[in-house]
Amino acid sequence: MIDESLLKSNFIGRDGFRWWIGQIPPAPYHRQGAEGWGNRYRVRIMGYHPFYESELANDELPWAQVMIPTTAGSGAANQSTDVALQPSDTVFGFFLDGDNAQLPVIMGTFGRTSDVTSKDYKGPFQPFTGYTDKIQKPAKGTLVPNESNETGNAKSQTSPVARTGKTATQTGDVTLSDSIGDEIILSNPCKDTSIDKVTARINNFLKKLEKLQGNISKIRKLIKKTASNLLKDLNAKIGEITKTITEKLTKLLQKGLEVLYKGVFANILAVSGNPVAAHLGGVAAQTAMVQPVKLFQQALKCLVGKVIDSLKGVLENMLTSVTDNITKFTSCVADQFVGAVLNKIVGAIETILDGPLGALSKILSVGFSIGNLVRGAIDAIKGIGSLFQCGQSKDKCKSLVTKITIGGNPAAPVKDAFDSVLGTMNDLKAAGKDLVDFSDFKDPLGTCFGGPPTNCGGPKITIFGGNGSGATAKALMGTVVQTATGSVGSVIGVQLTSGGSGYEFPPFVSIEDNCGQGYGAIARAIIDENGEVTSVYMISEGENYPVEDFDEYGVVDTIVDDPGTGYSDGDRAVDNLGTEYQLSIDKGGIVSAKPININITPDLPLIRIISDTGTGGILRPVLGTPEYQGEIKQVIDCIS
Amino acid sequence: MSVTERPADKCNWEGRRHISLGPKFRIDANNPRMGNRGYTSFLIYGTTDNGDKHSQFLSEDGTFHILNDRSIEIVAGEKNDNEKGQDIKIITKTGELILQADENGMIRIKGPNICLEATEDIDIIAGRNLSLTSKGGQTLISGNDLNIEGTGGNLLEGMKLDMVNQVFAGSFVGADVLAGILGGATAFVINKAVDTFTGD
Repeated sequence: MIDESLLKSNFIGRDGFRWWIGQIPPAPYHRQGAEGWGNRYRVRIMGYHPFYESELANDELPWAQVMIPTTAGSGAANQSTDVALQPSDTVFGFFLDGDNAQLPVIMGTFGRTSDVTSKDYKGPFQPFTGYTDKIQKPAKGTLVPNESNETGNAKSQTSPVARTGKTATQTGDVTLSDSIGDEIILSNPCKDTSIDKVTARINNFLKKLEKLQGNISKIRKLIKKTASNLLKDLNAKIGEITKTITEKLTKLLQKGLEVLYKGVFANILAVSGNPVAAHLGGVAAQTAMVQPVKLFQQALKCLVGKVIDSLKGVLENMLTSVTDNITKFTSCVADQFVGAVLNKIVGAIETILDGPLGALSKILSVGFSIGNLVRGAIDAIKGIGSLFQCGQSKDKCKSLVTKITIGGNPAAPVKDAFDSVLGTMNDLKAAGKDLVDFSDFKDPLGTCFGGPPTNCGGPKITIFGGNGSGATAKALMGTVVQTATGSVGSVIGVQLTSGGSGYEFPPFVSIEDNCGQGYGAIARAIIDENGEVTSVYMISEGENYPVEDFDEYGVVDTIVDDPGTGYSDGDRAVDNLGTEYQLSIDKGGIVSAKPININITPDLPLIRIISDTGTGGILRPVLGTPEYQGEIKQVIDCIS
Repeated sequence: MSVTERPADKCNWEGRRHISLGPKFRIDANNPRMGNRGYTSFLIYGTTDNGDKHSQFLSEDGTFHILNDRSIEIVAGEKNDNEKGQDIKIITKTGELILQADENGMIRIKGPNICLEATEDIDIIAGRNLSLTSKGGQTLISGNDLNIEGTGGNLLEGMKLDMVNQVFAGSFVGADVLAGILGGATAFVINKAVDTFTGD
């Protein structure tokens, strides 16, 4: 003992380096509280401390200081990054006092893997969860609890995804926002979009309802909120109906007054034989209608407010009925709902105007029906009155995007909601159903199938906007994965089938399948000076798209997205599949890149330019079916 | 309908970097998982104990998103002393600027002076009422070609453009002296004639 002591210098670093591996004990013993000093953690060190708490309790373990990396800062000059050690972490360190082993220092921690158990604490040196009473697991729906730190492991610390809540849930993920996927109808000075707004509102309601299954108080709140918003959306529509009724009735009443005059004139003339008296009688008869017309005009003034009032409870009942009875949500449910609402509006207008119209019956033709007039009025409202004249530009209305989806692609104008809803409204009326009670809904009209789609088809490419029309394209599928219900894959390329015409700027490219199953495929179009789309290239291939057609594709050409600068002869390009590209360079910029060899690619290739001098060039692959027309290099006889 | 993601080996996990600061905040870059607009180039994400979420991220298609479950407050200019300085600037270089309150509430714009200028058209559409009020000064509507249309109201009635005037435009009604001319027995004869004609 004396000899050993004599050999010691008692200076740190001169008496050997005694390193160790230990474990941070469970809370609340694991760290110094807020009142402590330094970064100190208790540690149970293997080979130094017993395996049993009965022999050495957690609160009797020694404090270890923590060594902080130089990039974290010591705290001086406000430079600091705090220590993130948690209970159960396996740490590596050394003793400042060598063999005395009383002053441990933690130098680092071993990252956990997903195989490490994250259960509650059982005993020393067994792995357990790092969550404590003060650092609890993430709130539901905010982050997936995870206690691993593995580079390149897809399951380690998964982040929320930019997908709809429904899609995220299906992969066990959390969506970045429940707003993702909501439809937003934009203001539109060129077209009446009130029906689109109502339809989008119902679609969003159905989407939220799906998420809230079982949460009755939240569903009730949603119903009230949606009903209230629907009433606001309907203001404009009822206002327009009123305007159209006015226009149509004005003409009918003018005609009726003329007929009234003629009839009274004839009657008085027949009785009195006095044309002057007959004329005066006719005029008086017309005059007698002034007051009823005035009353009708006053009734129209308050029509919108009264119709809205009449719908207040009705809409809530309809939404409740949908909630109670609909389990599969398709767009036709929204169409039928809106069709039913329009029928309700017609009914309300009929009731409200019944009295004022009664006083006008003398000048309205026999069989006149305000209901039919209103239905006609709804049909007539499609555009907004325009002041465009004198050859003024109407560019603001051309290619106007009317709808966006939060966090989604630009929404292609697939169909006019107005036409669809209008048809449904008339069908419902003809069928004698007002659809207030959805209890018999699985399909009240026999055309709306509420079950899951049976055939999603492949992804469809829609090229829209850009002030042109006619461009069409086909999706090329890759990264195909077989599932229990079929094949899904990514859109690795787009084959242009028609360039269309009249494009003034690059149009939007929408990639969607009938089931709304795939997501994430993004493409951009390029047009030439003649207004034609010349190519479409992929920005992102997406995934989970249903695969209908599948072929072998290779890079048949490229698009120079950015020519870059500083390139020189001898530079070349390759992609991750081994395809080489011959570059054509002019004044340092890449003019074109042609594939030298064609490899079949199952994925979207990434082209890399190899150059010592050039920068900034971006090449996009154009995929197609390769044509094997090269010369025969070698014939192999496999028979003899 | 299930969701099948691309196999992990088809994704570039090598490039992913993240900092996870506990269960309520993280930064994630080059995450190869597919979002609705492609991969997420980078993500800043945070939550509250109540489960409210905030994220800002750049999608592969170049769109930068800011999504917040509750409110976003942007305040600027506390120390700017030039009253003509620009405290907040939102500028679109090519396309549209969309400002939309999609559900409840109103869009309020308030300032000492407000200028709406369009090189082409200004369209103001109200689903219900449209009010233009000038409290302390004049209301001026000027243009090369001014039009109004509607059903009623003192403006239209004054200009004989309301529904009543439109309906009676082609009739013989127009003089307000009819009541004085027609009275007593004559009125009885007329009423009788009207009823006979209309079958009442």
